[in-house]
Amino acid sequence: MSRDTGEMGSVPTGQSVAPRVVVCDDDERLRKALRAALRDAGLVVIGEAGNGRDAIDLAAHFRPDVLVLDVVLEGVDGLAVTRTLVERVPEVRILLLTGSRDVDIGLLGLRAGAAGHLIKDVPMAEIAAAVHRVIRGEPVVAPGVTRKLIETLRALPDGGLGVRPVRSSLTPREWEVLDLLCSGMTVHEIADQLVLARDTVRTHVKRLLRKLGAHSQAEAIEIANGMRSTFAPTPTVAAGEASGGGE
Amino acid sequence: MHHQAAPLRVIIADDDPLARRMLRDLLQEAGMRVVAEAPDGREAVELACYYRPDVVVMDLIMPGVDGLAATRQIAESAPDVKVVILTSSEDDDVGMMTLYAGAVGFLSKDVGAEALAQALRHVHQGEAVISRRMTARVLEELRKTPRDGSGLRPVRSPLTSREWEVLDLLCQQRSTDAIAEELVVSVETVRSHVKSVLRKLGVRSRQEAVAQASRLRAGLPIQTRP
Repeated sequence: MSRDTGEMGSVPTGQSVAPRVVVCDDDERLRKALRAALRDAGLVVIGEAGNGRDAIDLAAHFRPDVLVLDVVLEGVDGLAVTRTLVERVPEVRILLLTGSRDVDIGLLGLRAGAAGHLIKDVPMAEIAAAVHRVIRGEPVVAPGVTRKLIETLRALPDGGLGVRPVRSSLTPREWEVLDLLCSGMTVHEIADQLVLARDTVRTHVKRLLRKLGAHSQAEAIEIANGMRSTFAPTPTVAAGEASGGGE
Repeated sequence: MHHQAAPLRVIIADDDPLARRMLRDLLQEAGMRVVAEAPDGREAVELACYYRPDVVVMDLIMPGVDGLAATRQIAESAPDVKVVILTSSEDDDVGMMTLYAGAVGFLSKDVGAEALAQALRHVHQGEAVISRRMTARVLEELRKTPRDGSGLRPVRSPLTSREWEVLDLLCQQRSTDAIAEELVVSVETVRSHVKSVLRKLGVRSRQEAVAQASRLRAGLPIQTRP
């Protein structure tokens, strides 16, 4: 059940407003403890929810500064709640709480747009401090999770050599030729690599240039990298490995 | 100092001998063991591969093979060895590059002795040590991309273009009906493509196929069941 505690935290202009928080957790004892800790830290709890639906309603309606959300709720996908709110009310920052066994869900939540993530067994005061950090725009990431975030980032396809968009006007063969061009090979080398006659490769190059609307091989390479980068992290960061055309 | 575990084994890489000396003193004072020192990236890689320290504290700007290249090589040849970059640069782009290269820490040279020692201990325990600003940047990069790298496929693949189109839509959690509609083909055709995809990838379910797709996009080989 959700309750509007009636404290909206609105004050006459000119005075600083205490940050407004909504708390969502299906454990009532935890909610109570959290509420006390948040109040002690100068935060105003304007609403409480015991389930995802109510959390969404409260957040969308009252637009708190922060929503503290236990991700594992009875019968509701906390991640789905996160995604819904990130889309509907992006100004509401979400601080996720997970059990220590559900750290990966926290990671997914961060990727989906949550502002912070903590493991539930930390002291209440730390959760309150985290709310303040989230309000200041700082990310809050549980120990060990930063490392996983970086690994996830590194594992994403870098939009560099060897990949191509699923849909393209270029044929698979034309993409093979283009990819090798991007890696710096000459027509001669490509012919050797693909076991084709040089004239055949030149024909492929002519065709793909025409399809891409490119006037030179260099332009075609730039276009290819551009296409790849729309699906992946900015290749400029991986400039050392990629064809160097990403800038 | 009371140590519960063996002292942390560290290699220092910096082209400035004075900087190396100061760092060595600092780390030894903190109860760590500096097993080797390198004046450039090439030696850093060699020594890291030979001694297999817990951590390499790496300067970025060094002659010949620089810290970034050395980090990449160590990540490849000795992935258990953790690399922490010490830099005078505050450039986040540079920091991101080191993370992509495999570094697990990116610290300013101004960081205090205690903070540095603590950072190395954290790194040894499996954490990454980067500034809050860089953490925000990592999150920003992650959020930019579609969760699963969908839209991309390897240039060369045992799957046909059509099969990749179907697999890509599977990765986006679309149903058979939705895929048939999207590709303007019959449901039977989609099912036939899915069967072919499962067979070629050597998997038994759509979920497994989706998992393999991620690996293929990242240039990794198909993961066969144990």
